Amino acid sequence: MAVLTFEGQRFAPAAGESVLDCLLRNGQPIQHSCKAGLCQSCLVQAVDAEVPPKAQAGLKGTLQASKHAMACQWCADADITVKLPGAAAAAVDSLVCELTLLNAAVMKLVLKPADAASLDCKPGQYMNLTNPAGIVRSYSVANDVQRDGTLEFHVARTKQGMFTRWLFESAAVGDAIPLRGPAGSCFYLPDAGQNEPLLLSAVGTGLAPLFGILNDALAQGHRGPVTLVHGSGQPELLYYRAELQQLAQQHVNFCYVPVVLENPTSDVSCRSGDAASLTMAALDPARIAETRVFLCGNPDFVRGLRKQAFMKGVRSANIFCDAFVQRPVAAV
Amino acid sequence: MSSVFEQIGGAAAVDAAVDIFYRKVLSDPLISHFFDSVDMDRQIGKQKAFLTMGFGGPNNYTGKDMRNAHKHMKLTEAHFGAVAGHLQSTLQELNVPANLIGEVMKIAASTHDDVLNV
Repeated sequence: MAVLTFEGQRFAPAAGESVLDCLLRNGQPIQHSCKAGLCQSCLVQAVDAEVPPKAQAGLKGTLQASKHAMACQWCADADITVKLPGAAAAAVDSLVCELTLLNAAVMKLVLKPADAASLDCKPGQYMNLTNPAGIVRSYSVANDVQRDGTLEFHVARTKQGMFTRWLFESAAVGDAIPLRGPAGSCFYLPDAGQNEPLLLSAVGTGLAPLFGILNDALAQGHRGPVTLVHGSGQPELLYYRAELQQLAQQHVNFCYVPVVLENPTSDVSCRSGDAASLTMAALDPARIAETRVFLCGNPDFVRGLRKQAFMKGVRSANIFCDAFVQRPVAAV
Repeated sequence: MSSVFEQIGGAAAVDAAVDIFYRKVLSDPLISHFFDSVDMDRQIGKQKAFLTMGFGGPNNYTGKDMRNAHKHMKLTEAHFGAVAGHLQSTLQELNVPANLIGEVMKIAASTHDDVLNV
């Protein structure tokens, strides 16, 4: 007799019943609409189960790779454990091993998880961090935990942020930080093709996931042109410029475009203007239908640019976003 | 005789049509505000479900669902006509044969009373 486990509860599916119908029959609050495998309203994430291809048909590659599935298309005829997408799994212990200011307003936080080898976290996904006061925030991962054995985050100081105040004022190397995750579908997938253009665009600490995705793409041998636009208010708030310039020198297919709104120092190494316009200008019209676009930063920037890119001709399935929202992400 | 949905190309036809169709409705100031939600992936999913239904494919929508989904939107004939027009021009752009476009437009027309709550 198959068992369907969801959020710690166990249910017995009827013969031929879908995961969605079984959960609905048992009063579980699952969003759904078409029940035909199209609207993707009823997404769940497999915890301990092989997902049948039918339950992933039409999903973005990054959602497939992170074991998302449409509950309505998944026949519950084997033992299956699923959760809501992004819902917290068990916590992993980690310790703060580095705190470095990247500029006046951004802290690089490096954590060493207890069991890095078992952490299946792709650069660009995000994790939930719990500080010693119990405050939970989610931050995007800027590096490859499998390569480095650590997780790197970039945290911007916010005026009233309880987590950031702790981080900037009293955090210390050796502090214990429980981690949950990963979540998010904004990451590089070599199977989606390695010869197509990649356009990455971020403002502020939106650079964190894109820095991870960029290094991942280059390390995995992406051959198509890769452009990274990083926007900021002033030149001194850009960061990782030397690292990115060095990457551009090492990889002929990578172009780095730092952008600032105001440029009082007339720093000739960065462009003036708004990052969104320069991002749109970097789209190659001849290859727009195959270009993959990655957007990270504040919600207005991400949503505005996402729509512009789509209207210009980028395929909806080729736009990957991570909008930073100032709230604990546990309740998506 | 295979269904309209099969003749038109099934799920692959929906995938080909959805971006074209969604760009058209977002470009139309009369109706774009109904479709311009913050979560574009979710909207794309809804449009795929709509196109699948329009193409005569598998769906679970009932007239009552259609009525409930649209009744608070204060829709008029002009709104309904605009969406139908974008559906038709999407199919024309994809070189769907005229007789199949006719079948799809018949299915779309059949939702008229439920969508406009008349």
